[in-house]
Amino acid sequence: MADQVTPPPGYRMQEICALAGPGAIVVALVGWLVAGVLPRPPAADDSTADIVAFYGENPTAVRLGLALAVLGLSGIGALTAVISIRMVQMPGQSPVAAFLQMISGAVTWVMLIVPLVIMNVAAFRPDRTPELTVTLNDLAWILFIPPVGPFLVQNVAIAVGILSDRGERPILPRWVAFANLWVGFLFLPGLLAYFFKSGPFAWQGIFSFWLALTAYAAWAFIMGFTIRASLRREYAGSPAAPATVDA
Amino acid sequence: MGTPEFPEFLRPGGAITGPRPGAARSAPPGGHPVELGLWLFILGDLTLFGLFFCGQLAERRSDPELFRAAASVLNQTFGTVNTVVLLTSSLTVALASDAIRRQRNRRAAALLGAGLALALTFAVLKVTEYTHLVADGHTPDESVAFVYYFTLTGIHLLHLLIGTVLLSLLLRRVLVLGSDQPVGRSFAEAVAVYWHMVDLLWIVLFALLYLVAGS
Amino acid sequence: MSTTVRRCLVAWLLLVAVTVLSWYLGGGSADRLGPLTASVVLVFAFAKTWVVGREFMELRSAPRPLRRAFDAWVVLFALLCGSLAFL
Repeated sequence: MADQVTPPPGYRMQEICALAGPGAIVVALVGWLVAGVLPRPPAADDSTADIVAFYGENPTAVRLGLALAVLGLSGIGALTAVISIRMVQMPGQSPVAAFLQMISGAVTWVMLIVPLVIMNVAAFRPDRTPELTVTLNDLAWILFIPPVGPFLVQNVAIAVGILSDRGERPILPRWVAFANLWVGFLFLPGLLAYFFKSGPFAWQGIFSFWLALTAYAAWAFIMGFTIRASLRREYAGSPAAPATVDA
Repeated sequence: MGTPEFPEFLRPGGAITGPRPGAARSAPPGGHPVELGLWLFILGDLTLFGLFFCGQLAERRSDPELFRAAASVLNQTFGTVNTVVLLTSSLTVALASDAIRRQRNRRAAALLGAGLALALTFAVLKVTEYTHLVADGHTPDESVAFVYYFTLTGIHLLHLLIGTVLLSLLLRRVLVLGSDQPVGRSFAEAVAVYWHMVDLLWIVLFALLYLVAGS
Repeated sequence: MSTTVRRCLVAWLLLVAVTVLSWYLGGGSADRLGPLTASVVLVFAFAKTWVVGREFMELRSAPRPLRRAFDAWVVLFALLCGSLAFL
């Protein structure tokens, strides 16, 4: 029994897709740092002059940083793809959760990049009427922080999929399911950004931007690395891999 | 054959383990078996609320008078009744967990039903309270103290409604199984622990928003 | 009545008693709490959460590290809330 399991052709690709998730976060954070969104995002209660200055003072840095972030976030699409594949492979369940995850993951990718493009629209003509810049900035941030629905659906779909995995050795550990539920709850206060211009629940506040950013970054790292670990366990020919048991 | 046909690239290393309903969950050595992943979620959510508590108290330091004014408008008796309602629902759910463990499903169903009724009572009382407050002109626009009151109790109410759905699912599962058939332990346990968390969070919220804020 | 049922009932009675006492201290007797009364109410609240965790969430029979983690949550946030409220 030459039990060195040969990895299937897509294995390497899946591993790269998994790591693209954490990679996306790193590139996006660097982009935001360049653009000036970090360390202090433009706030809902900033004056018109402040907002105009944010886009007008160094428009090239804003454009470049946001472009980098949008490009980097492509990794979210790759991560969503590999999560979908691993979820379809979970034995004993209907693939509905996997497909729900795939759809919502695709939507989250869009919801992450469109606001950044709108910020780039604001930075495109920094000399336009100040009110328009403020409106574009509002549009970008209110599109960015409070619509948490697709993110929540993705978290819940992943949790349901993992918890109903009936395999002898589940593809992803059950704690990942509960971590997803927790991340979903951490997104909830973001909804309140519709209602507040200042304080911890406004879009720039600790319970909106910072909590959601931390939660989402942690999520991408958890998903990326647990999926990579599950791929390695299954295909790297380790003697305990369930793939070697079958005749 | 229960094995669904997937294209080659979707198959886990050529072997699909068949469905194994009721696969045993590993119990950690010593003590009674708990799902540690569930507790990651519970402690995580508790910590999120812990930060909410700190946020409210930190905000109160800058203007205690606003919080005193808000607390004086709130009806302490309403809050106390709601606390007792949730404590009692926690009791019925705890007793239901015990009944499920002993495979006494009829008893469990009755207790869960009572817990659900109490959960709905809490929600109705809370909404009544909101309606009174808003009718008297006390909205989040009035002061930051009301911002905290409405957002924290609102997020808690959302937790409670999710818990109500979970309790109903558990009740349905117990009813479908009929008497004397074992109910899946891990789901029952998760629902119960989540429900007690909703109770636990309200205990602190009640003390902070209704009582401490008025000091 | 089994031990579990009895323990749950005792815990519930205790929790309700402390709740009513807190209400009496807070709203019943005076229209404003002094800082001392308020700190007692806060300590009561976190003590209640500990009882809920231990008895209702059944942490008393859970593995030790988990019990410690929960105790740590109670103590940490009781101290944080206490110092934010009264210092």
